[in-house]
Amino acid sequence: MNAVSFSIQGGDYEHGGAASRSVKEQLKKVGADPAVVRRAMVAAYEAEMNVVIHAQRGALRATLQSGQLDVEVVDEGPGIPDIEQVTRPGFSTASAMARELGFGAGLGLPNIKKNSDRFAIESAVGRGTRVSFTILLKPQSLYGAGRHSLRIVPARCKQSLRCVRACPTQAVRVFRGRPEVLDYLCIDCTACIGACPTGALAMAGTTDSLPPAEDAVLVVTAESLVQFGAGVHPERVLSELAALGFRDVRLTTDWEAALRAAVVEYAFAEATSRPVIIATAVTSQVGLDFRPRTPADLAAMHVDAYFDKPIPPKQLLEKIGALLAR
Amino acid sequence: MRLDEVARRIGAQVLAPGKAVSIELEQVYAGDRMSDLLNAAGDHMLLVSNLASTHLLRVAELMDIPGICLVHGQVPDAAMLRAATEHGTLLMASPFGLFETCGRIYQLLAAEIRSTP
Repeated sequence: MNAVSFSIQGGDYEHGGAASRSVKEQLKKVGADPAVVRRAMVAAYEAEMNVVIHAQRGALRATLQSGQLDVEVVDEGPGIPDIEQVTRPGFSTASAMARELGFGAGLGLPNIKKNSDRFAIESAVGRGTRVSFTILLKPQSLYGAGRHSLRIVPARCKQSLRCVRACPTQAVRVFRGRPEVLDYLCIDCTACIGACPTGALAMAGTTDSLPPAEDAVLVVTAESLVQFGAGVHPERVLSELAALGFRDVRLTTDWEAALRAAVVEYAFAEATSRPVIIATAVTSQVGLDFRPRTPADLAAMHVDAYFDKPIPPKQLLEKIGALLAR
Repeated sequence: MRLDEVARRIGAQVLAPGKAVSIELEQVYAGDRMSDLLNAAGDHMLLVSNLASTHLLRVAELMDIPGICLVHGQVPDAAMLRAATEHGTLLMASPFGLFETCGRIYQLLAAEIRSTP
């Protein structure tokens, strides 16, 4: 994780842009795409200059992690009486001096919004303003990964916007009279489903789409139980699911543990009679780490051959062939 | 056309050569509104501006704009020159006004496009 924090002085045009430059350096360090860097710079510079132009002082904080850049710019300043008005292109309260320097076109906030994947602003008159935005470093790949599990029934949407307010990650919006869910922001927490008064949102696989289940064993991942919150005991979720008519409801945890045990048992039992090849690509998937940390660890493993990455494929095949021929 | 050649052909004086003299010019932006500039910025751009200010350089640096052309033969202050040299932004000054400078660059590029088969 990379985090930078910068203080910004109101009226200090001389140093305006310094915070954005440090954000740029961070982005370049992780090899971000130039187009992404450019979008980030438009948003960061606009947000930074807003503090210089309008506020007494402020701070820019940027965090770079999990493939996204989160920026928060908080200021102590006059605040904004009408947020809707300032996010409209062309509206500006910049001073004559700022305008002379090329600022105050009334495009700052619209520019931040346009160049970010998530944008939020809150303000208290007489106290200050907080602008935050997120830019995804690889929007395409995030779009593809993990679709959300919501089912949307547009006809039922009465545009109460409660889903939009309930969503903790700002993944829901109502556009042209129907709810839309942004895959890359949705965490499947189901808060929007609970908030919708007209049932326009539901889980993609609900009870009415389940096949006859009398003989079926339902397998649930432990991670999926998180959505019910700390107040609901996992046992209760499992028993409610069982009540729907499944023969049994199990957590995948049992199988994962069994698989782990089997791998270890097999390795011990068979090692004397047959060659055992441990591919760490597989074992690390089930949470086992065979990688020796020290030469002593390696000696204790009594292995016939140990290859660390990167392995020349030819050398690997030759060695495996020799071991199998023994 | 390379940035340094553009400077030579329009009669502009190169004040800081930058590291970008050999960059091919693909885009020209003339205007003083920062927000518009941010939106238009590109890494093959020459920025033509009335504003001889360090902000302009800061924006050029942030947005990877390789060259800036000042107009009316403006001589930038020492801070701007130093900043341009530090960041390697090409800084030139045209003896003409904004309108005429742009006109000359336009003619150059139009002629280049016409002569390209």
